[in-house]
Amino acid sequence: MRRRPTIEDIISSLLIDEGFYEISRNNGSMEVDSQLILSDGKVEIAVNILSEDSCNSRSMVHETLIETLKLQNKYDGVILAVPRRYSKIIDESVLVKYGVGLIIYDMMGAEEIIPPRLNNNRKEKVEDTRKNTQNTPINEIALLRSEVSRITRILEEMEARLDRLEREQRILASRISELEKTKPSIIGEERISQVVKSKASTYSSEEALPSYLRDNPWVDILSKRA
Amino acid sequence: MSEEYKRSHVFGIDYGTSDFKYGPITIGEVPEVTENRGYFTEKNSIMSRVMGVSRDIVVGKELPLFLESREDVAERLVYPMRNGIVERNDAKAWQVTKELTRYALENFAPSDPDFRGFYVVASLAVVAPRYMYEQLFDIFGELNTERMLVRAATIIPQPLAVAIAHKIPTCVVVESGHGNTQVCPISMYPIRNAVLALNRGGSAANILTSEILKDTGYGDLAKEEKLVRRVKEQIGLLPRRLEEAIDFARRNPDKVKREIRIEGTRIKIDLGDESWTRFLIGEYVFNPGHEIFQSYFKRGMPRPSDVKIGDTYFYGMTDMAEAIIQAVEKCSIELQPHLYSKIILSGGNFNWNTPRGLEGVAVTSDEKIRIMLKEKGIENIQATVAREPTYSVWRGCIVYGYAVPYDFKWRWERMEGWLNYA
Repeated sequence: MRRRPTIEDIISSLLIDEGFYEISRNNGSMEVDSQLILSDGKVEIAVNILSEDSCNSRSMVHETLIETLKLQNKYDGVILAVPRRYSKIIDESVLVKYGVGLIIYDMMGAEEIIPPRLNNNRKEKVEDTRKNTQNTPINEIALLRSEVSRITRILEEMEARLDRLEREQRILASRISELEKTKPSIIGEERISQVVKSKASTYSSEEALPSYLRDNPWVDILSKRA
Repeated sequence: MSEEYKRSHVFGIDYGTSDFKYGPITIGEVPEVTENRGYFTEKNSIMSRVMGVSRDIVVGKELPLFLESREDVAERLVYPMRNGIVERNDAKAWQVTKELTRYALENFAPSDPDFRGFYVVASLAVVAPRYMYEQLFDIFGELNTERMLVRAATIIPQPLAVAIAHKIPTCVVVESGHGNTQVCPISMYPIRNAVLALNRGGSAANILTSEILKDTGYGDLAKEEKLVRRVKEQIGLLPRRLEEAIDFARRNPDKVKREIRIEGTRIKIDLGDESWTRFLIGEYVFNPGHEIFQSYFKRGMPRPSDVKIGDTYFYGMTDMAEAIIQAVEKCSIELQPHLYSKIILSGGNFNWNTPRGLEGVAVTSDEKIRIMLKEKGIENIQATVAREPTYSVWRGCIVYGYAVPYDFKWRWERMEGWLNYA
C-alpha cells in the first residue's frame, strides 16, 4: 500500500526539484519538531519544520526561530518551514534581515517564500555547480542522487497504481468464480422447481388452492430454497 | 416422506401477543383464533370437578368457563407474551405456550393411520431472540412423545409471513400491534440487521384517548380500557397535516363534531367544542414528538419510552416515517428505492378511515405515510394497508410450508429450513 507523504517528504521534494538531495532527516529532535539536512554537493542547507501543534505555542515558535538561527554557523543556509495556515505568525522582513529562508507548506505541497541567504553566495555556487556538473565527480553524484530521488518517486506512484490494479483484478476474479459456482446450481434449482411445480399440479389444481397461494411469486422463490 | 405429503399437511401457527392463530392448510382462507393465554387451574375447584379436568393448565376457547371470581385469578391467568417475547426463565409462560401448541395440533390431527405428523410453520415476532426459537423447537419435539404430531417444524418472522401473504417479495413490512411496532425490510428474506422496533402501538393511542375523555368531562369512563379502545376506534381521526386539520376543525366545528353511543348502555359521548382533539389520536400514533403533545406529557401522561426487551431496543418517540427511513437506510443503496416503493402497513393500529365530509383533512394510514416520507425527501413511495391483517401471518406460514422443499434442512446461521423430528 502506498503510504501518505509526510510533511518532510513534501518539503524535501520541493528542494530536490531544485537539485538538492537529502542527507539526513531528524524527526522530533530535541529542539524542533523535525529537521531536514539537504545538499546539492556544494552547499548544505538545514530546514527546521514547525508543526501545526507547535504553532499554537508562542514559546515553541520562538525557540524554533532561535534554533534555526544557531544553525547558520553550521550550515551554508537555513530555512524555516511553517504550515500555510500559520504563515502570518512569522514576520517575513525579520527572516530576510537575518538571512533565514521561509517555506510554507500544507498537505497539498510546499512553496518557497523566501530563499535562504547562503554563507558563500549559495546561488552563485549553485550556478557554478550546475555548470560544472559534468566536470566534477561530486556534482555528478549529486545529480545522480537527485535523479534517483525523482525515479524513486515515479516508482512509488507506479507501485500504487499496480496495487490498485491488482486489487481490482482480484475482485473481478472472485466475482467470476462466484458466478461460475452459482451457474450450475441455478440450472439445478430450475430443474428442482420444475419438479416441484409438476408435483403441485398433481396434488391440486390451481383453482382448488386458497387465494393467498394462487399466483403467489413466493411459491416459486421459496421452492428454490436448498 | 414426499413433497406431496408435506403440502397436504402444512400447519400454520401465529404466536401473536394477544391472539393465537392456528390451522392446517386444509382449513382454507381463515384460521382458528383463540387468545394467547392460559389458566392454571385449581384442581379442587367445582368447575374442574364438573368438567373432569385433570390438566394443570386450560387454554383455548373453553378457558372462560374455568375463570373464577377469585382475587388470585390475575396470578392464575397467564398471558405468556409481552411485545411478542416470552421471557427466557418464565416457566409458566412457556407452559402456556406448550399447552396452546398442543391444543392447536391435537384439534386438527387426523385419526387416519397414514398420518405421520404435521409440517408445522410457526411465526414469531421479528425481534424474538434465539432462545425462543430453541424453546419452541424443544416444545415441538416434546409434543411427539405420546403421538407423532410434528413431523418437521420451522419458524419464520411475522413480517416475512405478512410479505408472503401479500405476494410481495421485496418490501418494507410495518407491523403495528397493541404494544409495539416493528419495521422490517424484506428482500426475498428479512434483512435482520435493518429491523427497527418502536415501543408504541395501539395502546399509546388508547392512553391519549383516555386523557381526551378526562379533559372533556368523561373521567369516569376513561378508566374502562375496553371502552376507551372503542371510543378511539369510533372517534379517532388521522390528520393529513395536524395544524391544518385543527384549523379546519375550529372553522367547521359541525363537520368534525360526532356523538357516539356505546351499544347496550345509556352512555353517549360528545366531545363538543373539543372535537378537534379527534385528530390528535391518529397523529399520536404516527408522530408523538409533535409539540402539541407536550402539554399532555407535562400533565402526567406517560411518554413512550425507549426500552430494551430481550436483545432489542424499542424506541419510544421516533416518528413512523423516520423509523421506516432508518430501517431502509441500513439496507444497500441499490435496494432502497425498491423498498420505498412497497411499504405494507399491517396491524390494527393502521386502521384509520376518512369519514365523509372530511376528505382532504383526515387520511388513511398509507396516505399519511406517503405524506410524511415525502416531507422527508423520499419520492416514489407506494404504501398499502394490509388486507385482513389478523390472518395474514397465518396465511404466510401456510404458503411458506407449502413452498419450501421438505428436504431443505434447518440451518441456524440462516434461520430457515425444516427441523425434522421423524
